[in-house]
Amino acid sequence: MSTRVSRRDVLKLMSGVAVGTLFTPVPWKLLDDLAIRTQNEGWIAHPRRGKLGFVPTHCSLCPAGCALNLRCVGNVPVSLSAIPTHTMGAGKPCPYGLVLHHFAGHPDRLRGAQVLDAARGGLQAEAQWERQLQRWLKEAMARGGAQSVAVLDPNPGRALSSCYRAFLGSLGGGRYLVPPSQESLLRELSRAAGLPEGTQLAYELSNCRTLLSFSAPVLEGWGTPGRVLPRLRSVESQGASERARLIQASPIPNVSARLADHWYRIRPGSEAAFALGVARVLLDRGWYDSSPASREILTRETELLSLISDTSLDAVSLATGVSQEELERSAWRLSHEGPSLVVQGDPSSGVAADASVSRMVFLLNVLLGATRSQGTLKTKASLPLPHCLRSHGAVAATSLESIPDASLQLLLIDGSRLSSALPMAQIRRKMEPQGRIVALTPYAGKLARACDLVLPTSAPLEGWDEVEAACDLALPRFALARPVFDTKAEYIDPVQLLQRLSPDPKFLSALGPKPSYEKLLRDQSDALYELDEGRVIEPWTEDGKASRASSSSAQWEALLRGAEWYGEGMSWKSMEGPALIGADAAQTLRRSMERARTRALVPARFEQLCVLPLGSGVGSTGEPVPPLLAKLCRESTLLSRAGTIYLNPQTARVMGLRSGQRVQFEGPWGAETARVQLSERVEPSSLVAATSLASGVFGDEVRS
Amino acid sequence: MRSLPRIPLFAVGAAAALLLGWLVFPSFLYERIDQPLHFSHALHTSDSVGLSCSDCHGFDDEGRFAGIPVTRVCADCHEEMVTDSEFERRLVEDYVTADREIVWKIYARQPENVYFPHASHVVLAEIDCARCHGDHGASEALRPLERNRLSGYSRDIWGTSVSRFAASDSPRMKMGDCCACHRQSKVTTGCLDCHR
Amino acid sequence: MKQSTEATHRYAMAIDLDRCTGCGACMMACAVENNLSVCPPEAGVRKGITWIRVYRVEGPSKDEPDTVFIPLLCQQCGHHAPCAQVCPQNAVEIDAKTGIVFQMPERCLGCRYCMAACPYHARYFNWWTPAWPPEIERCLNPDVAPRMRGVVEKCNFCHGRLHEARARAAAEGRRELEEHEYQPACREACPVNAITFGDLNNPESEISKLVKSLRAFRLLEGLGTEPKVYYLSSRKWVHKIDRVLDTSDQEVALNV
Repeated sequence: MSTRVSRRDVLKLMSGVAVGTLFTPVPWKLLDDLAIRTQNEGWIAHPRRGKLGFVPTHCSLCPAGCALNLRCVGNVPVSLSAIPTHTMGAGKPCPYGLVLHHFAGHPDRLRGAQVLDAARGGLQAEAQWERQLQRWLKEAMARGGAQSVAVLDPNPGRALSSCYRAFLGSLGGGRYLVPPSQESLLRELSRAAGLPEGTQLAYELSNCRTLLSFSAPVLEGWGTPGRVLPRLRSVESQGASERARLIQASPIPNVSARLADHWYRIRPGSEAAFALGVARVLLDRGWYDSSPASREILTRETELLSLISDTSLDAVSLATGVSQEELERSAWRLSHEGPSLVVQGDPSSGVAADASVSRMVFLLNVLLGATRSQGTLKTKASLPLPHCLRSHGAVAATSLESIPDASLQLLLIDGSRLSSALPMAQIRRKMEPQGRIVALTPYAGKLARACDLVLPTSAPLEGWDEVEAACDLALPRFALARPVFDTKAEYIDPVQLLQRLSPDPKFLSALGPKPSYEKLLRDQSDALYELDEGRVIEPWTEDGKASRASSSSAQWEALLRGAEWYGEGMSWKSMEGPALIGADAAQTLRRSMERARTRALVPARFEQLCVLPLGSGVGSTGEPVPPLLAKLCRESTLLSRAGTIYLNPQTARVMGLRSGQRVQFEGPWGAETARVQLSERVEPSSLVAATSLASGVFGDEVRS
Repeated sequence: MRSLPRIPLFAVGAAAALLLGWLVFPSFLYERIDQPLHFSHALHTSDSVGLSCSDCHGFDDEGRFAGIPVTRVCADCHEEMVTDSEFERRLVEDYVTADREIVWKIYARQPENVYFPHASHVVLAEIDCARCHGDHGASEALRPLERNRLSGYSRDIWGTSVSRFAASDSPRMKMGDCCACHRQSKVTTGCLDCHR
Repeated sequence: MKQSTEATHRYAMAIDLDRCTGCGACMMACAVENNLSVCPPEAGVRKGITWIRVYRVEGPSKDEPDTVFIPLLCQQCGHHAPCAQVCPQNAVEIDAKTGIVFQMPERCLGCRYCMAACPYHARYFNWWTPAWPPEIERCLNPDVAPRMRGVVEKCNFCHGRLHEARARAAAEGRRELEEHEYQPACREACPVNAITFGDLNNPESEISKLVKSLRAFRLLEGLGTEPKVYYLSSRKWVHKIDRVLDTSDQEVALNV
């Protein structure tokens, strides 16, 4: 008989296998383990595992330099927190500082030098950048002399800044430029006040009870947030004397205005008028401080005083839009609820870049007694030069606005730490037609795209960095931010770059054959050690007391551990030198007052809107920010997103624009697309721009 | 046609499946990965060397458990060769002098969402290392990691026995095992306490 | 009878709205501590993931315009938390020892019933696979497990920090935590110290005193959720924000 396998046999076998398999671990383990596998495949991120270490350092994004404690696995920070007991109780990083360890990983990091090649569409890699840069330098020197070479430094006061100044000196006298900022305003004021070289002004808020701010965004990360914000926002119930009152005189409805105790929505450009009005009331009523400084001003500044007495409160009221009663009330508050302080915002916050305003602000401060020894305006010394730079002639700082247009052949911009947007329109105006702009920046952002050659510097926590003091710290201070990441990105060491570019073979020779930023910082620390007043505070101290290090290397070691160096302040010296405000300032003020009055008389014209930059807002610098910050502006409506313009609904109706509409926003700064948003709180005849291109610009613009 | 002579096909199939499933499958399921270096716990804990568990697997200043020691811990004694062993030579040359981390294979690796603090178990509950990690501390050589090819986890988590019917000597670390001990000791069984 | 005699805690939070300046530091600290992912550009306000989100509310008076910033996070409701009641997977547990309403993404199947149930809109769904640029992904916090796509997540009062504090205390032989040892990231980051966090069951703690103040109120108290997040404000209209219907033009800018 033939035996063939039948279908029935196969089925019997297979069913046996199936039933048997059910009693084995196979199907159950397959299901279970595959389920586990799918939970852990590539679609779930895996944080690093390993031993945790702690690295104290400082955030180098802005002059506040908040002390941070990094929690690291290996050399990768996995979280960070403030060290509030450090920096004299002020270590509270802002949203940007809290994601400091993400900056280095931004997809728009530059890897290698790039040139802007408009013909080939944007940034292209450049291998021979150094030779090209040397050539440009030679050409610039040949065409325009040393005066046509400049360095623009948005963070003056660092050891690196002194290095730039010495480098320019080694060329035979280049220009060291400072763009407008809070610190640069203070520096200029110091010079105008006749303070000796190497001294600057600073605010002291710890005893301030009334603060008048001309558009300064004091509640939005101004100065050192950890020190300023608690001063302005303690709770009533803790005692009225605990808190400082904020009076905000500003045309822009930013957060500082919205949360201020009193917000005066003055017309754009009428800051000087408001200040004149307040001064008039103070002088009329005799509500001013009778310190020697006050008396000196009142005897010397005859032009100014006659201007003030010529200014009627009616005119001021008309020019600013603030009633006389309110003017008097503010003057009363400032003089009777002191100690008071008057501060001015820089142009990126919507104040006209008008030197007369700073003079008025200084005058008010003197009249209110801020320059008294217990006052709110202090002087402090600059840091001494590092040894290696002392033999080179360092050029002095000049403001960007003051140099003539079209006078630069080569400009080097240090964009490694931008905390506010650069006024690119103004910068381009200062360049000759064939002039070149070279930028040092870690990212391919707006700055990189506006320059001819971009050299990548280190991102935060990758390379060396230093922190100077913010405008609200009345002591000289020095701290380090040392590298944490092991980076594979190639970046330029700025000190090395300067040494190779300098025609002087002895430039930085004191640092040895291979100068570096780290060596420069060490040199600065040694120079600071020689000052008698120098003290060092370690990151974690029970009592927050500073002490003198035992030797300069001990001081350096302490700085590497996250300690900070502080020097003594300087007491206010009597003012000598040229007239403080000066006749020309009085003229400027008169003109400013007239302009404000005229504007006020003209009805709002929607064809000519006044552009006011909103300094804050995520991405307002134009540089890439870590992606998590999108949570503040895109995944919520807390902060403004860069590329937004705000219009009053009335204005928008007249112009036929709707909320959310994309428009082309043009002006002398260039053109960009922006989205329209409506807000009742914007004045009908202005436009508030949260864009980086328009930063630093103030004025009337014809809308397209 | 007639079917095959009476072979109980059903039973044969079932038996074959059972055999394969119980005997062959478990050994296929796990892949064996060797540790990068030979290491004898028995030698290091013996009287001649005299180390205890906590000398290398201890708590750091933050109270975190060090787990597998970093190369630096080995380098404390093995900065240079102390024996003639070939294994030690590899340690000193390839890792200590080169300042490289030894990538040990971890037997008890848990998923990301599991939080297991050694501190509460070792210090507060005073549980002996061997209760969860077996007699690893007395081993002459490091056994290879048996890694489940499907799930990616070590055999130590599920346990050596695939069926888990018998209470085995080798410790297990699945959630149910942790919960069983917790219930027995009348300690917390809230989700928040053990999950991230 | 528990072998470990741990007292039951009731962790709560008080946020001082008179101090908050809307800086957003709490939002960033939370995102870094809890490994929040960056959502793609198409995620707007509706689909973004912000375990704590600061809202800006304008006052009702036209004569005296006023603004308040309100950080909104999971209110950690009491025994009858709506989300815990509706979850079909038991992925939400109200922890007996701490009072924290603990969300377990590993159990969640993504039905989003809890999101509908939560009256505070404090729950967020992973509409996309959480992703970071590779060099940022290496900086993830190992104390908190990242989630996968399709699960709901929310604030758990920084349970990663609770674990860390407990482990540190256990290494020193202690079972109880000191008040300063366990503080969430938002509280640590706030520059004006607007956020206070502590144990309501400890009568000495700062939070116990704050919640008894006249300035204290809770959102949507009438619903009976018994939230453990209190808000403090001396302004009457702020106490009523959850009762005001917003009828203003939706297109008006919310941040200027």
